[in-house]
Amino acid sequence: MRFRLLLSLMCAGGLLADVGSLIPTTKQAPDAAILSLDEMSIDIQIDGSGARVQMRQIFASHVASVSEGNYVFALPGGALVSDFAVWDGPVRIPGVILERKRAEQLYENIRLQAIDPGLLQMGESDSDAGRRTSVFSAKVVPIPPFGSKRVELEYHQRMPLENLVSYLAIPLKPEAYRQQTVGRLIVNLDAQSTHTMEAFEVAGKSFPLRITEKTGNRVRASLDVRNFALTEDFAVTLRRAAPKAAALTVAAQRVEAAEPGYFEASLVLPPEPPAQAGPPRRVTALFDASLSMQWDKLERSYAALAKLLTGLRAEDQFDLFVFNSAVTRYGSGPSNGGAAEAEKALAWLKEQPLRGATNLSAALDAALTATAVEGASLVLFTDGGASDGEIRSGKIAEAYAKKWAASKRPRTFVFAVGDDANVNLLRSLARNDGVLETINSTETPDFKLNAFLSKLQRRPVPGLALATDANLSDVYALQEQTYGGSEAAWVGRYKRPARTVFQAGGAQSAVTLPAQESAHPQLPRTWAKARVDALLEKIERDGEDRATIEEIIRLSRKYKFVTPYTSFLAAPRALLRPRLIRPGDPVLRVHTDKLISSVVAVFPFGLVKPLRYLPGEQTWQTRFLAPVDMADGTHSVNLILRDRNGNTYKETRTFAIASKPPIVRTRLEKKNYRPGETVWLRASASATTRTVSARMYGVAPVMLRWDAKALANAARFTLPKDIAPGRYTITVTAEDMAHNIGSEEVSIDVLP
Amino acid sequence: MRKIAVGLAAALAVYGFWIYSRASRAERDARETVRRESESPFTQQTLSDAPPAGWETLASPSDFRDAAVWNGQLYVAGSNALFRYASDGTLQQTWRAGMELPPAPLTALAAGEELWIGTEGEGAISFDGTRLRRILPGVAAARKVRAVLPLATGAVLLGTAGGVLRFDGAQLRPAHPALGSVAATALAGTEENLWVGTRDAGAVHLRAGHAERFGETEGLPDKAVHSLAVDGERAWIGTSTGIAVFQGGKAERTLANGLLAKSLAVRGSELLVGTLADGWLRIPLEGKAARTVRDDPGEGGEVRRVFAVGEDIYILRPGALDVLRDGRMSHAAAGQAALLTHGNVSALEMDAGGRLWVGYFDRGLDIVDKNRQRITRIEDERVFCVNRIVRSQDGQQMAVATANGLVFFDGALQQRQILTRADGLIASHVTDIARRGNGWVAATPAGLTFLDGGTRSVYAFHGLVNNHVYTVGIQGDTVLAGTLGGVSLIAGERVKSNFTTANSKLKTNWITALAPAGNDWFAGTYGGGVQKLDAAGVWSAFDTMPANVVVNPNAMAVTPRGVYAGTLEHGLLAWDTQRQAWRPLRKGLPSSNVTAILYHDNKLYLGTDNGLSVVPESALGL
Repeated sequence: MRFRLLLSLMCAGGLLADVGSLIPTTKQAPDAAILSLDEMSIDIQIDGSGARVQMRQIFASHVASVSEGNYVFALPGGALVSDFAVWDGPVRIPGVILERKRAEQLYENIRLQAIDPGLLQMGESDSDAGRRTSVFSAKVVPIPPFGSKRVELEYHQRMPLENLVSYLAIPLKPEAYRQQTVGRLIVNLDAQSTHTMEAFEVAGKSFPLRITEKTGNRVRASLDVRNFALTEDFAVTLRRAAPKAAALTVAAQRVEAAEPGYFEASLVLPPEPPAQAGPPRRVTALFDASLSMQWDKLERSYAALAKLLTGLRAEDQFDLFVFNSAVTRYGSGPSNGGAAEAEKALAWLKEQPLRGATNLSAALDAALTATAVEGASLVLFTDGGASDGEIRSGKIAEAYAKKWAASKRPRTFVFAVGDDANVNLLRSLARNDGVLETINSTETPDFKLNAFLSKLQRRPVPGLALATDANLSDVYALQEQTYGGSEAAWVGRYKRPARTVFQAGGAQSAVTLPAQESAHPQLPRTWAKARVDALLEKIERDGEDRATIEEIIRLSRKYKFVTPYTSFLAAPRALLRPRLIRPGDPVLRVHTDKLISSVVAVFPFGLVKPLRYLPGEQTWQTRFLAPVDMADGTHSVNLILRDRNGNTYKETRTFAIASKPPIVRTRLEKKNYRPGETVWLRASASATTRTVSARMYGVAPVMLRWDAKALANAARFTLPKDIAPGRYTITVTAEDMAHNIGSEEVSIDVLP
Repeated sequence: MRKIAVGLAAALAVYGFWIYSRASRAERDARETVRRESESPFTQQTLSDAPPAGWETLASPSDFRDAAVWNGQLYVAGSNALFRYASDGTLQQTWRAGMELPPAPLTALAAGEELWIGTEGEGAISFDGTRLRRILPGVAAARKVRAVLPLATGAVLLGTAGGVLRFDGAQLRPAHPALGSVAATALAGTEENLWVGTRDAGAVHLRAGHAERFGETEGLPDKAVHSLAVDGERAWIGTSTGIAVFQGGKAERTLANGLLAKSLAVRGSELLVGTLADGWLRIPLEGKAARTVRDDPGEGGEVRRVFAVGEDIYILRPGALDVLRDGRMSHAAAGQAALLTHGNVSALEMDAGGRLWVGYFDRGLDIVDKNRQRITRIEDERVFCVNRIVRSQDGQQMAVATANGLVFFDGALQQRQILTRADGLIASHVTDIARRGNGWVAATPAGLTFLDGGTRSVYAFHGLVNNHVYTVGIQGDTVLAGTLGGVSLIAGERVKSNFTTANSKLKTNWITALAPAGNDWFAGTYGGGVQKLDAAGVWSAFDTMPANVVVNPNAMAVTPRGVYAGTLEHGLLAWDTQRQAWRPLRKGLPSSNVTAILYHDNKLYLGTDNGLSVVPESALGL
């Protein structure tokens, strides 16, 4: 056979992100026959809007030889890894934060001793599909024969309050791997809040969480189950009681007298009255269709845009611009809202080709010019990667702010997608009376997208600021804007214990800042992160300077979190390994350390091929043909690497052959529906399928997720109340890991 | 009464005879069934046909695979020919793949009562000094012969991708039930003490009818076995990462750690080792500490076979056979002079100046001058793993699509433009390229990119039936994209319709090649042969198309006389317009794997994975 479709033969973390999976390096997915997840313990501490998640996992080897695995963890959006450790027998090998340059030097030194330091950096993946910095991966070796391996991970995450609801999801459900079972699952949750909690709910249906304490300010819950199938994410929602007026509370932490104390002041605002129909809206949507948006980013942006447009009323108006190296407008002027026009616009968008460059400035100019009416909103869907026209972030933001001030001042909403989104630039754009929402590759977008779109019709509470006195310093707001029903929070430091009066949004709270307090251990890191964010923004605006970089590194090391200037380094024992294997179709590419002088691939079908080194790309490459009788599925290839000193290393990597696009089979509960009714959709798809989505006229796309009870991918969507009767087609599309597409169409009848 | 008795006796006798006959036949049938079940179907054929007329070859390197001394003469098997050399290194005779030999790369040689030649896909060939005889197993995997071991009995063992077979001159049967399905790579020993190396399952030791397997946990450095040597009770197993030493069927130690041992031979008290990248070496067998001796420390490289004849040591490299005699190394045989750099052709095109452009599957490209005498070789980080070469409309440019980008050459063979994903292609890996007006359209595994000053890309998001586009064809303003999941018809850069097995008479979704013919399209598929799409959008199949034909990517051409499709295992398929039938053509081809087709000046240039042939179209008899 000459060509067969070969999926990424790469470190499993590269493509197949998952939470807490230890994947044998000879496999592309967890294999309980080799490494099983025997125990997983999750401790969740929620303190106000901050969450600390500590995971401890014990994997058991079921093979007679020393094995190794890739630990893959899909970080939730905005999460900060603060600790990672691997146990080597009785010895805990913790990760340490080092300046990136120093980390690389150390890595080199250890490597020269034929020991793999297992450099752990956020976003060490590398593929054409885009960097996934939210995937945390690490090589775990050695795993003793029939022994166990313990891995510990800790991360922190903010839980923004939207419409009095905050949401925490720990993505346990394997997306690509379909199912993983844990021998014993222990979850301990401790949520406390100075604001009254009205309700606490577990979003996942399968977790039998037992609530052991529930008061207005504290919830404790736990579960301890065995042989548990991780079929859905662990998610909880906390609903705060609606305050009659803005309520300001203060939490503090001070461990040592010689150190300053840290505080967080949070102001929960009462919800806004239910939205009225309101006057007709005018929305200008700007959609990035450049090559950098290809795959996941484009799909997520499209789904968000579809939700925006299909939510417009007939009396609303919208403009749609697609931009890349060119800016293209849908129609010659604003279009009316409503399902029909929304569908036409979305269909038009699907016809717009991707172009290689992104002229963000030109797109913003065109949108501002077109939005020459009062009270309009400009909604930008992009990763912010300007590569044509003006490409300097500071200049783009500055120019836009200037032109925006001279325009009708449309509120600028930005939906930033992708792990590599230029958040600093997009935040600057959104500061023009708008909102920034970011969503990374591992996040389920629903909660954020709903909150984002809900703000288009609402105004933030103006002029919110924390009044401080001389005892407080380095105070940073944790949000750009605050809406009714959400929370404004500030973090800062205090010099000495003293009674201090905090004032914000008309609320006041007199608090004695303690001499010693350890109830809020996350506060120092939250403050440090806010400080680093401010410093990074300064660098983005004014350029790098030594003092700023040194302070970032110092804060990163002291408070243990990764920044662009630091790396997370752990040093478990291991052999020298290639860092990344990335073949295309049907090319085998291997990226190795610089000391490697030859690479030979021994394929399972008997072919032995030396790889050629391509210096410009720093990769080894060859091409191979899998025999025609080689079945679809995962196969192994042995790589024999030789370094300049004559040492030989053997590495086994897997590749998957998928010669067929995924096959979808869709099931509907019934054929006839009425407007406003919910459609339940179930679909089975081939084993290689990565995502399944469904789309119907007048309805935003929905993702189908694995439902263990139904033994199928499932989703539901609600038909618009004003949908016209008739026959409609639902297109269910499955996409595999190589972006092969398979789809099936089913039809329903909407009755009057 | 007596008559009755006689009649009864006769009837009983007849009945008894009938019973006996029936029982005997049943026994014979049972024996036959057992015999048939224990045998492997095969055909035997004397290769005596004259080479086909009109065929030429643009010589590619001999790519020596194996060597043997038989009847006092030196034979060397190259991938594309068998050579016989005189003792002074003079080439005496050549048997070419596709001409005097079947169309397949040669893989192995072994000297027994006859000289045995293994092929990749055409079984084994024996040579008695005058006559070539092919043994062709009925099972496709068993036709891929990777090792041959003549036995003292006159029989021969064939190590194939589909098991180890024993041929005794009349019957071909599995050598042992335990070896029925192994993918053999090496054979050594005797019928009573046989070692079999496998490609991914370690080694099998067969002794007194008992088979024992050895893998990594039983002492092998690696489960992929490439070579074997046996000397009495001792055996050496060459793997990807070292050589395991066995004594009396038990692992003893490992030698040459880290080396991939392609060839092993015992010579007195030393082991000769040919390696993949480190030349050859000698390992003294006496003493525990193995000390390696490298006779070519400066040369290194790949040694495919090392063997001793008397006091001489022969070292076979891909391009030459050397002999170490009386302490001096000299050439015993050299490969044929080659015009082309490699044999694995993946793309062909003729430029405006009559130069032939030859792209290679896992190398760069050669540009052969008009007189077919000299080449210009180009290989770099972008011009590497070539998929397609297409001349521009005005003839001033050549577009070379590779796994690493799209490179445009001018008439002076200068690279004028290099495009990758960073330059606007939807992916750097370009599987096909086609002229479109004054611009181009590039097919990639991530979709299509239109180029005409700027770049615009579409993929499944825009309605393409599948992201993985293998081939693209142009007819007027219409672009046809052949993908893994069907065919997309594109007009004005917008997907107008998609054809799949679900909504059309397309038999296979995986489309590998497209060629417009008048208002129709011919589409090559992976496993479904060639199908036709007419102007009305109706797909039709051909009754004369063999089953399960895999058409290689972009290996199709349309000429005034017919349509040609290069296939993976069926050679060249030719559409005979007069007879309205497909004809398989294999004779003359150096391999049945036809990977590229170019029609120029009434000639067909046929690229294979084992060399390049040229034939006048008229010689094909269409």
